[in-house]
Amino acid sequence: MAAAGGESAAAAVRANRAAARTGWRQWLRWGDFLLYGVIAGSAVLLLLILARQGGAAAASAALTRDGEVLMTWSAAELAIGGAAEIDSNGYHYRLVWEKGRIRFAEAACPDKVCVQSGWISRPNQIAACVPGRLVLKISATKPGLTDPSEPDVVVR
Amino acid sequence: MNGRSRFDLRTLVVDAILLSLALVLSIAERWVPLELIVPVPGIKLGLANIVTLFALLCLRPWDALAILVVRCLVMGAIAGPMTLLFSLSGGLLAFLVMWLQKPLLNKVFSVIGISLAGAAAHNAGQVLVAGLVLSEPLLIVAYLPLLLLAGLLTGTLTGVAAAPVVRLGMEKGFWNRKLQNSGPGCARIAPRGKA
Repeated sequence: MAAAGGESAAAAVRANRAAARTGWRQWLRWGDFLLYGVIAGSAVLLLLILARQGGAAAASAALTRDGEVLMTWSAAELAIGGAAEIDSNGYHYRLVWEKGRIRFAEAACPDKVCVQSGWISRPNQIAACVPGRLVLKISATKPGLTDPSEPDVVVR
Repeated sequence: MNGRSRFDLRTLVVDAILLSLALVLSIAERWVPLELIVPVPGIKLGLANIVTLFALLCLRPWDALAILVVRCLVMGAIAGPMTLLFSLSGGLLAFLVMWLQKPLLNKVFSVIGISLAGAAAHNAGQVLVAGLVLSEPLLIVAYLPLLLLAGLLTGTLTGVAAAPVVRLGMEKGFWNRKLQNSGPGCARIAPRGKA
């Protein structure tokens, strides 16, 4: 009896598993798969376009508020490293840069999306803070042209 | 309108319960540090979208819209005007997209598909407003792909969570049953099959 009971229980488990599998297949419709494809495809396409536009040129950075440039960093300055503090729209921020990259290290804004953005180093990468109205952006320094803020010669 | 007006007592109570649920979910998801697991700045689970989805598919679009707008207003009052702006822009765009998909439910899209498009529209609405507020078009192009990819995950999760509840709500038809007055000031729901 016990064996028969065990067999029927196992059969029920198998049937449940099979039902769960077909259930999932029945649950999704063809439009869902299309949506997955369209959303993932457009995201990947945008990422590729951004990466292509950015290129591998030397990068400089700029911090702006409502289009007004507050601070700029040349590629050489970004490579040397440093830190700065700034107040904007009632919030306090600390920026850190090193090895050609820069980030919002600390922010007193409510959502901290700017800090979560982490290090940015490639052209067209951006870290923004909507409450503080700050945009930190990396731009490509065109090859062949020297950054006017960079020194012409460095004597060691 | 099936013997009940737009503002009858039951609708008001059901909407109020769903609104409370949406608010609790909105507050609770702030405690989930999702950005530590999925490193996309500003990523949120969008749990309150389960309530919007349920209200849209099982009640009337009007109820879903009312719950959504009041939730955004209350969250805006708690968290500030920027939160209000972002949740309203994302929420209304998501609502519009999901409302347009509603007639295609079970034919072209499942609940998961509708949730997926809602999540993508929500993220797109928010990033568009952020780009406009900061007058920085690059912000839209840079953040949108990441948020779209994150929306695939969060939209699927909320869709999977909403699907059984929506199916139950639609099968049981609780929400569409007529009210029967069984005494002064007393209303009860008609038994199944008599509605």
